[in-house]
Amino acid sequence: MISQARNVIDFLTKQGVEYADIRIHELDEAEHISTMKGDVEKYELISQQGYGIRVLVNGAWGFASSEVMTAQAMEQAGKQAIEKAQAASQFIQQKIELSDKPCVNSHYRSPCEIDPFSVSSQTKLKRLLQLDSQLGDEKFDYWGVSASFYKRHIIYVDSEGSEIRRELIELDAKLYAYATDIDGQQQKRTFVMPQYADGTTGWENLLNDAQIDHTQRLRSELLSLLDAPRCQVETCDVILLPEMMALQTHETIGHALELDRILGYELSYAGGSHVDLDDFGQLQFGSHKLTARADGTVPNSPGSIGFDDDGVPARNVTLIEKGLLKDAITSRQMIMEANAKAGRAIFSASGATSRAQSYSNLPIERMNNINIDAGQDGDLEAIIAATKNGILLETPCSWSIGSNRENFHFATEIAWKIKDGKIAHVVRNATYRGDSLTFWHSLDQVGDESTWQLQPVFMCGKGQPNQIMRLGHGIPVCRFKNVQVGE
Amino acid sequence: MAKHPMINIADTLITLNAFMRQQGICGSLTYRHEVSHMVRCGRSQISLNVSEEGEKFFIELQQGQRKISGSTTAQAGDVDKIQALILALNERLQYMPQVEHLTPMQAIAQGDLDRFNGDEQLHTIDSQRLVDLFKQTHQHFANEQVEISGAFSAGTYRYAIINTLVDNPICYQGSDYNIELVLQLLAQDKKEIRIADVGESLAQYQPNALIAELVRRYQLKLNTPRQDIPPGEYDVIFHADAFADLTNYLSYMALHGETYQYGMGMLQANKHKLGDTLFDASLTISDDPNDPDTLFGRPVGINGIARGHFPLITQGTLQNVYYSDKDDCDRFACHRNNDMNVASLKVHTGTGPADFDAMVKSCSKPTLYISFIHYMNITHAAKGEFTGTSRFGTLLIEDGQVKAHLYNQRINDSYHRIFNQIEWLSSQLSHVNMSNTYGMRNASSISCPQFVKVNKVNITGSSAPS
Ligand SMILES: [Zn+2]
Repeated sequence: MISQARNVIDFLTKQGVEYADIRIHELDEAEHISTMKGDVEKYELISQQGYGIRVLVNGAWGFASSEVMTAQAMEQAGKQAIEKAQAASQFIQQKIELSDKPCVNSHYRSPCEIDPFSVSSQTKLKRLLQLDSQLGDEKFDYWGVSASFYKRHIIYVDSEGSEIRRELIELDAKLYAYATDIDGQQQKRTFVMPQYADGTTGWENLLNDAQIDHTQRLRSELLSLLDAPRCQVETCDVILLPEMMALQTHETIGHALELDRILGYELSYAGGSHVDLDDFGQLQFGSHKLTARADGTVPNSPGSIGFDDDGVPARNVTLIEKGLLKDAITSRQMIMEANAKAGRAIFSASGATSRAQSYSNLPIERMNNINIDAGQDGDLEAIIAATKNGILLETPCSWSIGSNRENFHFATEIAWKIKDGKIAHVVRNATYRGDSLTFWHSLDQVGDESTWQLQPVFMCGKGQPNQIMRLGHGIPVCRFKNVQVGE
Repeated sequence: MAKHPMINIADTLITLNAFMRQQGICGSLTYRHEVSHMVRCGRSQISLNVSEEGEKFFIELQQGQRKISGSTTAQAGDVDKIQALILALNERLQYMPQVEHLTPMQAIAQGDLDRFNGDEQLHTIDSQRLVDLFKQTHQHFANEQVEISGAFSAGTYRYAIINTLVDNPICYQGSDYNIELVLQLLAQDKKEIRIADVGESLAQYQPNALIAELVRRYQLKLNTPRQDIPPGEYDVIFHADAFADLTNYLSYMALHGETYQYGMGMLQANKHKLGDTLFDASLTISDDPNDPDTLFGRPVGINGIARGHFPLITQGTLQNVYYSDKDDCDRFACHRNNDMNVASLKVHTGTGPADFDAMVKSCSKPTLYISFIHYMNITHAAKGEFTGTSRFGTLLIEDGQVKAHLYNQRINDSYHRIFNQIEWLSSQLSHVNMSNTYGMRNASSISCPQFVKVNKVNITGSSAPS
């Protein structure tokens, strides 16, 4: 297949394109299994194959994809991509330029001990049903486990001489349980299996005892929610646990700092950003306790894939340092455009975040791992102990964010009221809202390494046609002062 | 003359169905195909110009109370590849645990139900034509300080279904285009305006009319000052784009039978019954593939269930909820009655103002005009509570005049409240695109009154600089 890829690139180069690349999904398989109340709810196998060809002609992109794997069909798709670029070049203000990158001939493999696709369906079902049985309770309406396994072998070749092979394995596993509360309204607890930066991504993750512990924790949390007091409207300190911190970081740092979004390329659909180019190096985005990164090098995350779809090796980019905005989520194209627009070299190199959902999509800026550095304010107990009147929040239930990511409203599955340094009781239906910058400025406690966790995200949507992306957030537990809660 | 591609697909499905029967396999096959062209514009230039062609076979096998499913990319001629997947799934099927509530597979709808509605021009449309819309818009605003962005998507989609209980497949082909065009007013505090369009054939596409409407909204924006309002309750007129979005979320929260049975939405089977009056008597919502007021009428769902006139809310009263998924229906011992994935909802019109000027004149007291809702989400399902912010032009209207252009406003309210506080619905119907779905192309739109006035909507904040 690699020689076929080289032939297409040669063919396109001979046609006079300024740049070309091809991504071939030689193998692209998924297996989805879910259980509900002791039954198998779904068992589905998905297999696909295809490729996408991207060309730059007269300074404009053209892209075409196909699932017909013959050399002839590839050439045809290449020609179609050229036609698309020619048409696009009829309406551009500024020719697309790509920043420099190293020419690489390399490969990347996800860290994996047991390939999930080598495990029999009976073995998988047996384990998932075991977890299902641990989660159930007579007071619950529904509960279950879902696990999706992904395996992709991707070949990348471009006209600058790079050749990259990626063998990716991903695991997305969840627990869920629903029960009716004393007001006759349904409450839920869900849990997305976190990944460990020092761990692996294979079937072995589902075998460890930690999963049993999670079923027990989730069960008791849901039981405690059923007659818990409802969230009161007040202004108080909030402490965000890892799943909530991941959402907060995702929506108000991650999406706000995508450079294509800052430039206005997502305006008609997802929206813009309250950040503009003048802010880099100037804007105090949050308190001095905030240091955030776009780190594609964290091992064992769905956001770490070795190289982006521009063929740029993964990097660890500091986005915000001690509260000061420094960099963005970037690609080869966008840094050239942004520097030209700003009239100064804000961005020195691509952050290697240009990624496509699959072979049929054009790569765009996507979060890889948007992480926050652990701090020095102790462990979770220490942060609780230092809180006089606060609320501890966990697991997103709903989220809505302003079109420039300037404000947000989040609802959570579970919360705990904190009074005088102690957890007083569980709280139902907790929500909080705020303005993004004010909120990050109110960050006053950042948990230590013991609170830092890598949270995988498999459902981030962006772009048109919409692309669902996999990524991660490595975040500590954090406390924010004086936040509006319960509205 | 070449055979219609769907005839080849039908032949392939008949061959595969016969193969399954020969092997003693009980199962169903669904074929889906899409051709999608999309041009996207940002910063007043084309940022993306792509074409995709996708073809997939979905297989579902059942043996007694065991079930398994799978899918593969394959072309219609790849009979061997699909047969191999059928056999592989059948082998695994033996190891699937039995699911007690699973009922036997049912025959798919049969009869004169094939429809080949697709506009061939949207299948093969030259991307130059899509690029031209943005170019033309740019020419109109060449002397203004604006940035143009938007997307123009066009294409066709096909599906065909068969199972081993019937002899013939049901085939559908449709086409659609959808457009959104946004202007950002650089010299006016980056105010934004948007127009959108959706249709099923290229003949419906009228670029000059779209640009004329954009110009009208632009002029309005130029002449209105920025203002903020304190949080509180306001009478709101929702434009069709905003009200269709509210309706779309309502359909998932209240009209989705599986959610209703699971008790996960705002209506729960143990509390709310068909026949209950839930909303204001002015609200009627239906789905009918033969209704000329709607787009994309599909007589059979992708699940093989025949579709006809389907009243959902009639004068505020709950008439039906959708049951589309067999596994969920089996769990609750109910029957599939439709396919929500191919629904074309219509919110029935009322007697309210038909055009923008009449709508403005109708407002004597301070009223907000919300043209679009950005990032809606359900904050409390059981209570029907949601949030979202207004976008692309929030206006303050008073004394029959547009007084100000507001910052984007956040709404926190509930369906139970606002759908019971409808003052009027416009007499004019318009189509709103809803096909921003994931996965394969599947056209969707809601037909909705041009404006809907709702009293006492709860506004909790705004995007005004603090
Ligand atoms: Zn996202």
